[in-house]
Amino acid sequence: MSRTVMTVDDSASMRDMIRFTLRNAGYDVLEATDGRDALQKLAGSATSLLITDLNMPNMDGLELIRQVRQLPAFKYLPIIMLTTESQDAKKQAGRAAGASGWIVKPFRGEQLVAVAKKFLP
Amino acid sequence: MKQSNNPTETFLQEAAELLEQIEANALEIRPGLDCTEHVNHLFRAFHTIKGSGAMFGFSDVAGFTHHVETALDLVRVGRMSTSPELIALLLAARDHIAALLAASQNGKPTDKEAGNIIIEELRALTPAEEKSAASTAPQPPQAPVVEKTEGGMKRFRIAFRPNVNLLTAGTDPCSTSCAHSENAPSQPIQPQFRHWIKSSPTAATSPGPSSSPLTKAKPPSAMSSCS
Repeated sequence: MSRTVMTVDDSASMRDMIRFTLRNAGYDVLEATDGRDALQKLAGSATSLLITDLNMPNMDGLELIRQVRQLPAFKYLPIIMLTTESQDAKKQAGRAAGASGWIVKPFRGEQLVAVAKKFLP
Repeated sequence: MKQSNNPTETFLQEAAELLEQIEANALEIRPGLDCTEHVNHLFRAFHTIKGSGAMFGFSDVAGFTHHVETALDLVRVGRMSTSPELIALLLAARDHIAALLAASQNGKPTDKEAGNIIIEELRALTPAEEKSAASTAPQPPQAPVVEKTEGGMKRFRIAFRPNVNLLTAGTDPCSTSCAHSENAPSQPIQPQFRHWIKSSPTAATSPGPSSSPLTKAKPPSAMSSCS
């Protein structure tokens, strides 16, 4: 099974942190800057875990999740959303859109690796 | 922006760019015109400074920016209007964040009162019916375990068990157990990760439990199902 994780975030520092942490843990990491970018890069990729922010320009995380669930190849792709404590309503909206779970920011690198390992041991 | 293996450095560069965008967008807002895109852009910029700031140890920046984000969220959903006073406060907030970031680099203390004044003035602009909602979010961190001993002495018991990779990723080492006021440390050890294990009414649009790789195994202890 592929060990490719796609991180979707408009914050370059978040993408840096996730890429750096997951590559050190042995994963391949693809990066996208927003939902639209992610959908383009997802097609034809071997992505087996998607980690997405919610607030992004062009296409937000919720719309990305909805659209990914429409793609036959990624219907069952594990999708983790990154939220903050103040986004409780967004968690439920994410669930309705088809997200598999969420991580609350701020989090530490080893927590991210632990979550990735649940899906891609 | 260039890829970097030092996310904190990337954050400082990113924050500088976001602060420039905040200024440009705030100055474009005119009463009476449709400023939806500028307001959305402002919200996202402050939101990123808050979220990424908290990730990389800038808890004072994250704590302050939370209040600005809350006000902009009300504007975004039409429950608070843009006004010259609000624009002035957004620009003042931008300057205060820049000062906090500069202080983190040169070690000089910042004028905390300046931040408190901006927060107070933002609250004064917030419609009365929104104020209770706006003031609920940040809770102070839980008090540490305190044992009272005879003679009025207090004894604090603080446990700290760092992971071996604590300092390798550039994130705030205690980001989930202290520092950021918005993040009450209810689960300092467990990752704050949840997923929905059980089948839900939305199963038609989400991966069913039988297809999820997770459900083949017993749910690991780090996860909790969501009711």
